[in-house]
Amino acid sequence: MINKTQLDIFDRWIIEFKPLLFKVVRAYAFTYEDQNDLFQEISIQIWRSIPNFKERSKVSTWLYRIALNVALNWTRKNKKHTDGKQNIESVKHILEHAKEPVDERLDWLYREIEKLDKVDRSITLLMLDGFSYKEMAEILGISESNIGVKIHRIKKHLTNQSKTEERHAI
Amino acid sequence: MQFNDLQKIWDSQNNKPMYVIREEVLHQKIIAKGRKAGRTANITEWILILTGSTAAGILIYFDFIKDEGNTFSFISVVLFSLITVYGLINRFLRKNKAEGFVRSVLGDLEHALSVSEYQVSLSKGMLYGFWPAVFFISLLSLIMSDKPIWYSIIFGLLFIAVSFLSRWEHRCYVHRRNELAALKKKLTEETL
Repeated sequence: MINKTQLDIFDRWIIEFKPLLFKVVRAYAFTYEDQNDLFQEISIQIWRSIPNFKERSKVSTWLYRIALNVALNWTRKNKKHTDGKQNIESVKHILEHAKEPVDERLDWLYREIEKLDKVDRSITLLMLDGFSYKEMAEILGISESNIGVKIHRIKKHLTNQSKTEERHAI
Repeated sequence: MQFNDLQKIWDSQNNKPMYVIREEVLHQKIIAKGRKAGRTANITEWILILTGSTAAGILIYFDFIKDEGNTFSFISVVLFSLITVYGLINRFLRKNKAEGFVRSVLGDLEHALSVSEYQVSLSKGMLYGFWPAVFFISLLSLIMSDKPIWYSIIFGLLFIAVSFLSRWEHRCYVHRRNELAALKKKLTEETL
């Protein structure tokens, strides 16, 4: 693929699907530094994968698959990262949270998602973003029936947690 | 809360920007990239000036003082002197141009991009212009002299190795230039 075409596609996808990518980043990385690091890793992987996109699935499905795979690998690798070895330029982050009023309920929901194990986290993101069982199975490489069981359990868990939180005034 | 309520909370973020770009950090990164490009250009220019003037000086000593020169060494003197002058003029022009950029994110980015483009053209000029010329003249000089043939063969192999490394270096400069060009495109299309 010609670099110019690849660059155009990359720019378009990054702009259009930024919210999708940030959801994954926020669910798997919890400090600004880590979020920047993960976002960079995802962006690099997207760039590399563009020539392999065959339009057999929707772009959002394709990008979700890449982002989740990178995030899962990143959480494994991230345990090996040592602090203090990065230079000041790479530690400083380019992204920051937008100065929108904080939605406490959304913050709470992210915190609950963060507590789930890595695979359940991926399923929750896909479920909340309206992906079908078939698409989820395709992205995560798990059978549809397994997805169904996990979704049932996650929904139950989240609604139970929300009820507990409501009692504590959220 | 029911699951539908959780879904509504989740969907509420879709219309809000979650992150923004921190302009001051981006600016610092651009300045750092500009400085790096400037340092590289500075080193390249000094290498050109010093190698050109030293080589020309040595050849002048043998050609005119020791009177041991031949046609090829006279041509080499001219060539190495041209390399020195080329390095000096380019350095002067680059320094002059640097004054004309505005101190802003876009201004510093344009400066970094301009130095990067200069570095690309400098390395291209050396890769496809001066070094092949120096090589052919030196090779002809070796062949025409009484030196054994394997001198020329070793010299040729060295030139191939140096060309390979120079091409790799040139590609690094092109990559850096493209990165800055892509960032500029992004910044001019998107409002910070």
